[in-house]
Amino acid sequence: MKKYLFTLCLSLFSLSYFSQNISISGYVKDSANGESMIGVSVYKQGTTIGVITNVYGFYSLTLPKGQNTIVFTYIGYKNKTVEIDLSANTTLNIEMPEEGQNLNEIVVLSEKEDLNVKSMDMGTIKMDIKQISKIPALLGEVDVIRSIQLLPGVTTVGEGATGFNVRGGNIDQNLILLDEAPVYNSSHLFGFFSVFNPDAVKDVKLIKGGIPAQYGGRLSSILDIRMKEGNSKKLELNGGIGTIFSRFSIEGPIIKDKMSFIVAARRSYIDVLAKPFIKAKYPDLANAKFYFYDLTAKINYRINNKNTVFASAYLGRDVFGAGFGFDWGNATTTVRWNHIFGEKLFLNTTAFYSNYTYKLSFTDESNNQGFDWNSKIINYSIKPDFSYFLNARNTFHFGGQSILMEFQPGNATVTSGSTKTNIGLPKKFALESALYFDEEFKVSSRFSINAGLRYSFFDFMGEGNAYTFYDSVPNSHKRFKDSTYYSMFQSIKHYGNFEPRLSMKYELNDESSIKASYNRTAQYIHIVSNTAAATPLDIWTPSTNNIKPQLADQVALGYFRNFKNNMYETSVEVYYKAMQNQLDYVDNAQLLLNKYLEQDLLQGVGRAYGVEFFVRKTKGKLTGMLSYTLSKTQRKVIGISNDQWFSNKYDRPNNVSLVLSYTFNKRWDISTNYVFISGTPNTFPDSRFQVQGYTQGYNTSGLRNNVRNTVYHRWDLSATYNFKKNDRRRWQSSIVLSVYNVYARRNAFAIYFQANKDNPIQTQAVRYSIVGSFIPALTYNFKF
Amino acid sequence: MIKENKLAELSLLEDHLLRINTMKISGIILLAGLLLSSCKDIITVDLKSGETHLVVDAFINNSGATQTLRLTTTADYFSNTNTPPALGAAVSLTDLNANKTFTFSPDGSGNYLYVPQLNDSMAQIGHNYQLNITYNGINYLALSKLNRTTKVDTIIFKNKKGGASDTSEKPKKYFPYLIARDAPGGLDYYWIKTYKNGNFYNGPGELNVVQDAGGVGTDGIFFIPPNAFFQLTPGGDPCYFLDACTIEIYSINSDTYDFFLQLQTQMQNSQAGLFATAPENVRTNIKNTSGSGMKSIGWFNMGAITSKTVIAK
Repeated sequence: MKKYLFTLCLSLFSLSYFSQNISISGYVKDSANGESMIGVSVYKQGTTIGVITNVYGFYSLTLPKGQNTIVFTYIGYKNKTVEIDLSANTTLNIEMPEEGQNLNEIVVLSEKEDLNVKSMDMGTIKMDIKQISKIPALLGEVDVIRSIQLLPGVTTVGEGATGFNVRGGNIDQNLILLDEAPVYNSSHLFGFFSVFNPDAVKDVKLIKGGIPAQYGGRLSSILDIRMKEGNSKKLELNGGIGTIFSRFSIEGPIIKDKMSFIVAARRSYIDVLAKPFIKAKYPDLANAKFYFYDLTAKINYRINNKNTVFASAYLGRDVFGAGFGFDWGNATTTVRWNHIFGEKLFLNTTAFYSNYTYKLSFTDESNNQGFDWNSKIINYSIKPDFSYFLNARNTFHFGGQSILMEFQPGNATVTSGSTKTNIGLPKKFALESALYFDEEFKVSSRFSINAGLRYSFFDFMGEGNAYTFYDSVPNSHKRFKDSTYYSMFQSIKHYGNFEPRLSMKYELNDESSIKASYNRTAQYIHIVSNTAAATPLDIWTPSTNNIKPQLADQVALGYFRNFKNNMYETSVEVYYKAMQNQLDYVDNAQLLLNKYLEQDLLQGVGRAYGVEFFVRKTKGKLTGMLSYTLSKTQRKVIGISNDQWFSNKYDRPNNVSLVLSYTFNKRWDISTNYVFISGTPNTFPDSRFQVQGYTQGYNTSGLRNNVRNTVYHRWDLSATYNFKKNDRRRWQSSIVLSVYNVYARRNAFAIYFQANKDNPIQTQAVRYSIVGSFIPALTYNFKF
Repeated sequence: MIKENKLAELSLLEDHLLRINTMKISGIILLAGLLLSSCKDIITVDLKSGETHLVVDAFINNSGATQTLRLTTTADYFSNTNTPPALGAAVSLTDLNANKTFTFSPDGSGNYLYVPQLNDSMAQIGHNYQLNITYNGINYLALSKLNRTTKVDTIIFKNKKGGASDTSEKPKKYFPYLIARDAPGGLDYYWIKTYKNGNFYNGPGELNVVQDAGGVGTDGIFFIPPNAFFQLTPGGDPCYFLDACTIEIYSINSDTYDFFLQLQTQMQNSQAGLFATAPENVRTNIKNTSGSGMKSIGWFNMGAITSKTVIAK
């Protein structure tokens, strides 16, 4: 590895001598609203010399001295051709206009046409907010996370469950970034709605494999969500009145073309609507609090050609209560600074703060009893990230990141009469850091390679106590042995991991390519959850002297092909992922307020493999995507399931999803989606026993997740009517009618086995369906 | 060291508190459910037959009355009758401190009985006991310490809802409230059992086990809700006017306490819906010492008992 680094450094220096070439760089923006454009293709006409704009819309291209013709292309936008006589390094900022509203040219995905085949990315799917908003949604709410769940390789443990599982990984193995700050819980109302306001989202990228070296800290995926910058040309209002939420956003320039802002807010109001009904039917819940909201804001300032700063903030909370309080939410703040050194070196420095807080409390006033509990995870981070555009064939990325993490596993007080007892747990601290470097190298016009290395290191540190435990029989509590005190910032346990990353692409011809990738990822923090779906109250724990970091190695191979002049994008990918130190739990584990949490945790190995087929059509009157995934995900933990491999609770071998949208005319759009997914694995009893008058099931085989729940399938529909636009006024509006679960299937979230309440001798299987019927909804959207 | 252990125990208690309140939390799940018309329905599932295990149900007390221990075997989950008795076993109980053995005799229906003789000191507080079972030539063994209990001072009634008159169509409902004090010092565990007219309230939601008087920092004080206050399984029948209500405090040890918490979680699993705990096999403290042959499950606990009966009025 050292040799490799040395060679790279050498090449960096030697290549910089070829400087008859001249750099041209700048930003590419949308001429209508000034939003920076990600993924615009910039190339010298008639050659393959070219680059793609980065996430900030920046490009840098090295070209020979003299007359050059540069072409900017982006699907759905008019090509821009610039003739320029290059004599010295040049800055060229471009604004691109959208193509006219020709119905046959409707495009839902804005990116370069042949990117599917030509880019280095594999295991990566980009979804534009335009595309997401076409998918029929639960209760008509356009939803980022639920749309992600329709992609190949993505599953969940069931409807309404928090989070998602990527290529057989647990929900905590996804790094969800909102403008580069991690979001610890992406859900409102458990998992029914996601916390991202679609009016403020610009684009969403899911990376399942071939993860670049700049990303780390989670094993299985990166979900990179970028917020809009705000219209820098004119003031714009967007809003909607839906069944669940009311949405409103305002964006506009503060200094035209230099400084703009966006503020977007949502609040649910089902509590208001349901109140009379609840009062009549469930008087106990008459005073129930039941709402969720989020607020997103962003401001950016382009100081000059070399410097741009961004500040974004997010605040979201779910509030529930009825004689008890239950609320949770994320808050994030990100400040970023883009700086360009010369024409070739681009620096983005991100500093963020992220806070996930969750609370639970009950009061019993008649008996003067109370219980208050809250938990937090706070991150402070700084992340400088450099891109060096050496020439048309070599681009380097390097940088680092440091995250200071504070865990509050539980502050808790019990009130009994006039006495308050604090039963909280002390805070835990950790520092996670990384250094990385990679090189994108175009070996030939057909073959490219991206090789990188990330070194991540982690310290579990004081102030606090570190515990040791006696070994125990597998799958039983480990007994406490000893405790040692560590002072503030004193390292209790240090871990370090080299994470090599490699992707390769070979273009067979203009329509098809083969790609391969390998990546190792390390994860130092873990969610602790042993319930069917993760709850918003699940605590996060750092790696400690007893909990080892999770590691994964993934290899993937893919064939990518476009048909009919890039009208259809298709791909087939196979992957195999081996995982170490997967977290599991002893039976009857005590996970809340357990000072010795580690005594109830187990770690084992995991493996996941599968094949993903994907077809997408992004142009024309009919657009959509079809995917099929055949996969398996298992784990082996000593002490569980007779020490044999068993299926993870999110193992769903067959997964089909189809999304189609059709535009009839300027007024009418319809969309539909259909999903068909294998049932989740479950542990069924094979026997019953009786003790003290209680009848209980027992699984004598001892095998976990040995049976599968019934198949899940669902069909959704939506129709959109766009009201006639008044030419004199800017007001535009549309109405969306959607039906979720059209044929009212009662899909089993789980099947439980229990004794009949009235006759305990009688045992029964109970199917629990989260959605028991079809759900219609109406949403009105407006734009001004 | 002692302090550390105490904290661990405290956390167990809080967890228990949280479990009791999952019922309340399910209130919001209910609200969400109304929105999405979520539902539960009974379905038919084909289950495989399992291997047969011996089931030991041995909760012995120091009341001086006839002690009954029940041996059965597991049966198909949907067999919907009482599980078959395990007949022809040899059962004895050894007081490891006094080195005395008491032999239980079969009644032919799976019950094994011991009638304590006057002053035979069959169940002594503080002693360690070993249960010995031989069934079909296979030996089984279990251990338990007999812990102290505490006295039921009295029972009062809190009537929640109901008509004005005791005999109206909607008669007044009486909910017993236990007045008793935890034995001071040390960590005590109790199983609080409630009976109406001699019938044990055996609903899963009525299973009431407690550490000290109700949690952390409750050593030596009066029992506090929710453990002091009778929690009826929804849909269950409370006490009415002139019903005889009995509360028994039976001492258990920390392992038995964990066993009951696990049993309760598993029995009430479906109520937690989205957040149900994964199905687990409930633990056992019965060991097959022959190393082969039929496996065993079930539980053995030696406990001290006190009780009181009060008429609801």
